[in-house]
Amino acid sequence: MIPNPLADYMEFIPDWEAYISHLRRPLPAYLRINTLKASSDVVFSTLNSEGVRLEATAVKDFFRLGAAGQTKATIGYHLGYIYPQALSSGLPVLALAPRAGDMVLDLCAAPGGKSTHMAQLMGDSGIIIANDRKFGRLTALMANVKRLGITNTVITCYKGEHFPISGSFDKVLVDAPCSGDGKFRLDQNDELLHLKRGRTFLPAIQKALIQRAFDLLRPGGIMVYSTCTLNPQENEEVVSHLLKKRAGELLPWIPPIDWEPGLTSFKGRNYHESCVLCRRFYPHKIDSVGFFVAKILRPT
Amino acid sequence: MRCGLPFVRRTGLYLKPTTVMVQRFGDLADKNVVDLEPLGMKRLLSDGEIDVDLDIDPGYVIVRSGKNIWGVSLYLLPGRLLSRFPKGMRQAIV
Repeated sequence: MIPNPLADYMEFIPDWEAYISHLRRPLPAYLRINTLKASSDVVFSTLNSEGVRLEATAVKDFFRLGAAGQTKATIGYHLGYIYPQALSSGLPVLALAPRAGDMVLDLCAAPGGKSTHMAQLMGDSGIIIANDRKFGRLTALMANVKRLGITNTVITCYKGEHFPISGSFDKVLVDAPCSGDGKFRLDQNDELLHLKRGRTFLPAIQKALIQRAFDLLRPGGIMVYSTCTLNPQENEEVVSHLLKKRAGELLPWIPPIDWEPGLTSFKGRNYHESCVLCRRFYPHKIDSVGFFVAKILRPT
Repeated sequence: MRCGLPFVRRTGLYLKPTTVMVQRFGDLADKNVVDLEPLGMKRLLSDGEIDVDLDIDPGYVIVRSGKNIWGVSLYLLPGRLLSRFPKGMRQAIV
């Protein structure tokens, strides 16, 4: 018996049996190499000398760990050469495609995986504002920014939905707080492991965040909304809400790994027709955390 | 709001270059860089101090092993190199 909320997803997840079977296995570990501090050759030889074996993936700078190990106890980690990160975590950043010199905002940045990835793609130039509403999470964010040797990042602590400085960013990333069911695993009894319990109504927060993020963009700017949940109420419904409230435009994007288009309906609810341009990533198809990515333009 | 990496810290009367700055920009240094063999590096991490014979003035130095810049150590006369690596790094690796 598959527990809720996953059972609800049967109507849209392709190859359901493979999905459930995948949930019964542990997720493989991935890491991103940081080319700001050393060339990839130096990173590889340092990790190799410690017995860390890496397998290439289709996502640039992301590698699968050959055998699960404690990467945080390696020299490479302490020299800031690596950032342990799920393969699919790199996708929102690739969709946003920040470039050297851009002014970028990461609205929900802690612990900094995506912010530091953006800094790497920007060659540590331009400016990244890495914001998180929880002060306690800024310690990890700051430690990661320093460890990876990044100099273009400013850290702020605002509630995302109240972030000031409207209309000034070239790009905004909203990796919104979510129920996280893209990470869910099942135990031997098909019970969910690590189910988040809380009374927070996430879609309301997500809708406020996406709307504020859109207002923070300059005309012609691009934002990405992403979550690690497969729940359409936290994904397509949130994007549809924005498109109803603001004149945003969903942009197509071709990811480097297996994806499915966004949904236009779920459980009798209809979403904006352009939601097919959103991208869904299912754990069993990509062998990593399930993800949702929407790329949105603020027209000039 | 501030941008960038902390470059130096005051330690008593002196300014100590930070580990994060040295790891990022240390490859641009052309003096006060100490090259250690892997064994010497390991001993510096585990013991916190090694004997070395360097032809430089005492003070903070950049420690490199192979192509990796590890951080900062303090060179004192006569011939002592004291680890100034972060505790977390030493504990995790040793």
